[in-house]
Amino acid sequence: MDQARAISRGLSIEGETDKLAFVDAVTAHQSLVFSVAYHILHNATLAEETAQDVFVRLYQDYHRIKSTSHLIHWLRRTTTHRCLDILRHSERHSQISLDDVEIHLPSAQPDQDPILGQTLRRFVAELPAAARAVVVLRFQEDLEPREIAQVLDLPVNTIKSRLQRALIVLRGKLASLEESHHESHRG
Amino acid sequence: MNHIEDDLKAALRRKPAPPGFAAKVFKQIESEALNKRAPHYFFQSWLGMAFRNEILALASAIMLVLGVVMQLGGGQSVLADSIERLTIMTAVSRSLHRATSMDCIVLKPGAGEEQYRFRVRWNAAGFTRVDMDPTHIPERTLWISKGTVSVADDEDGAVRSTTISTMLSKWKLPMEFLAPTILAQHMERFGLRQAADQGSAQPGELVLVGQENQQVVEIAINARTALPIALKKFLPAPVGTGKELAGFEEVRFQWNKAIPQELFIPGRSAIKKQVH
Repeated sequence: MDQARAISRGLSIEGETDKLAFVDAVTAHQSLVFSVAYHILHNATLAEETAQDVFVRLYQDYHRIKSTSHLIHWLRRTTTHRCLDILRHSERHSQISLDDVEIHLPSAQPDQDPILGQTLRRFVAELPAAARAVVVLRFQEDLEPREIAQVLDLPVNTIKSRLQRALIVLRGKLASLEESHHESHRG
Repeated sequence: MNHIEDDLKAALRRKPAPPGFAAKVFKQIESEALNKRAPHYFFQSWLGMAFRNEILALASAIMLVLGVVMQLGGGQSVLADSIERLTIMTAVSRSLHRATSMDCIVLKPGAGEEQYRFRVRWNAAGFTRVDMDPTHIPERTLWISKGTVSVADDEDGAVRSTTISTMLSKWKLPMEFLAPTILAQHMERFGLRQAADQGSAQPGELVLVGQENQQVVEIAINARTALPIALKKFLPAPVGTGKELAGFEEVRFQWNKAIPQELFIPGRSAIKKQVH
């Protein structure tokens, strides 16, 4: 809360205080930016580089930030669009190899089922990029479809249908996995 | 399967950024600023942001020169080092400036084998109380506010006042710990950086090392709040003796805990209170 207050205070004043607030912004929201990038890109190194780029852009545009909520929206939006650009570029040029190696960074709370968590993250990474971004914003950032639509500049109905389709795909993959497990036990 | 949304929330929970991420961001910004040939603006603005005390003008200039020289000379590692120090100093200094109370025990060497023990308590209203282990100094308690020092007479309990500049030298021993902002000024001189060996750190602590004159300074900070937990100073071991550094000063801190207001009123509980 102190950091949030400091950011709010800083944002309304130009000059040195802005820079002080920028330090707070990096400290307070590094996890948000890195996590969105990591869950969309599924590559820790690339996610870290992307997150750094996002904060450098924030530094350049900081005078445009008007409030803490604006800051958070800006970070989600910039990070997501940057990740989608990277994925589009990698699909076009096949220069970036997106690994699917699970990184084991400590979470605030451990997953209830680490294997299920790992499996779900892998399945999310296999979704099309646009659907992946929607899923990450919905379940990591806990955004409503209307808010996701604002981040991605898309109609709300498009977001809802992408989310529905993504959930159907994920449920299907989990069901297949369970089925194959049962078969292997029977066999 | 019906709980896939809850499972996704758990699976996609935010992960912390990698260690040192913020420092890398600041370094990248600095690097881009240097590429635009605007190093003066960058260093001055960041240092101005971090510390507002005039005392830092010198440090600011040193950092500026160091950064420019290293950039010209290609010494990226030294430049990164200066940024790491700046980042750490910023975090610690800011936390100290935000503190609402401080309670610390200071162990200082005296003449010969003597060791002085002080307890310093400070509140955000600007009052400081110093209690002294009565073994070596008869007066036991000082109250300091707005440059005035009040001392309770050991015999009749009467309170005498003087100014800090004219106070007895023995009472000046814990001067650098009279308030968090004063402590911050001193710590900024240490050139703190993260210790390569974190073996002595307790869970949730980060050990920083620096130097003051010929003394090695080691500070354990709370990794979450960036507030100091313990500070130790070591004398350098004589060259060629193979001996380890000898600790000679130690301070332990507690922060932001309620301290009864009456402790800061001169004359109250002067004799009964002892150093714990």
